[in-house]
Amino acid sequence: MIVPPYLVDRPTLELVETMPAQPPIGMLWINTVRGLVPTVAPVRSFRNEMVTKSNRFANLGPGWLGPNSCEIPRTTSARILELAVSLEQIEGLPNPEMTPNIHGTISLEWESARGEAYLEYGTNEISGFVRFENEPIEHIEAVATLPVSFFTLVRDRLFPISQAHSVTTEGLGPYSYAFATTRALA
Amino acid sequence: MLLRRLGRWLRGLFCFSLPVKVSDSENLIRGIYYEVHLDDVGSLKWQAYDPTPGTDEVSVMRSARLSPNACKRKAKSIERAPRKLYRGLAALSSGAIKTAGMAVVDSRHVDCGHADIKTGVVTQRRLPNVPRDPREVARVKKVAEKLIELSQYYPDSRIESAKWEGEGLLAPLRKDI
Repeated sequence: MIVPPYLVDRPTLELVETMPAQPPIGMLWINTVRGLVPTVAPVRSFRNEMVTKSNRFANLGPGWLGPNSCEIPRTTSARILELAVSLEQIEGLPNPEMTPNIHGTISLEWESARGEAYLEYGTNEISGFVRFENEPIEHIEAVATLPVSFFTLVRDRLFPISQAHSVTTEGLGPYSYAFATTRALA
Repeated sequence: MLLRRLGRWLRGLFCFSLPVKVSDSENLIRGIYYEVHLDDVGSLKWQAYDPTPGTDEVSVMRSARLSPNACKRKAKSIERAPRKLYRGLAALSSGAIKTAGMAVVDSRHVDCGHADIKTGVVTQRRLPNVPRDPREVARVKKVAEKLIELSQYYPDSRIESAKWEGEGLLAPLRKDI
């Protein structure tokens, strides 16, 4: 793997600031905050939107929405980057709707006719809820992390495979499943 | 303290021609900003009607007092480019909001022509960088989605202009609620 020279021997916080606003297609910039080791890993471009947005949110700064709005810490943004990497394993799960919140957290939402999933990432905690069709709402309260199986469940319940099969996937390459699902929902 | 009271009194004095009661026929206008209120395709997100933290109040402007130009001026005055970008205005009918079980109250102590939609779901004060109570979010989202249903969003095609150059800011026709 070739690491660009400007990423070598720089602390992570600088890494985020020196990143281009839009990562190159086909690359996901991973910010490993804990180890302060900047790394670049080639992954699919499917989650680039999540990466771009979380980087933008990290640069909002204090007072971005009004006098009492908190900035979004880079650790929170880094957690979303880590999630984006994890979600690469889950084909068929569309990118979430991402919203920065006035109190310095980031909301991620998936919604379909079959229900909804809402997650809010803080510095150390994740809270949220899932509501699947014909089932009572389930709350997620102040957990440190969520297993990949949670997101697989969201994919299976909100964006089942049958929807993807209803549209053509020909010519869309290796990401055909994911794009087909997104198209089916559009 | 005294100055604040005096300010409120003066604002009330200059606002004397506007009835305190918000009539059912009145349209209410809300400024819409990217990217908290809009998704990437330009549709309203429920966060557009997320109440002010610690209250159940969603701020709006009264069309009985403020012209579309004045509404745009006010909405643009609280823009915080490049982070909070003004994108347009949304109109709601006061009567439809009341029929949906919410209240609309004049809040001229904030500004003449300012009002609040009281959703009935009082939100807690938020701690910095700590996620909200998911039960509260679920309740707020449900009410906010109702308000989206009742509102008509008018994207501003001439954002840079000082005047509102779009169509008339009319709330959608009342539906059976």
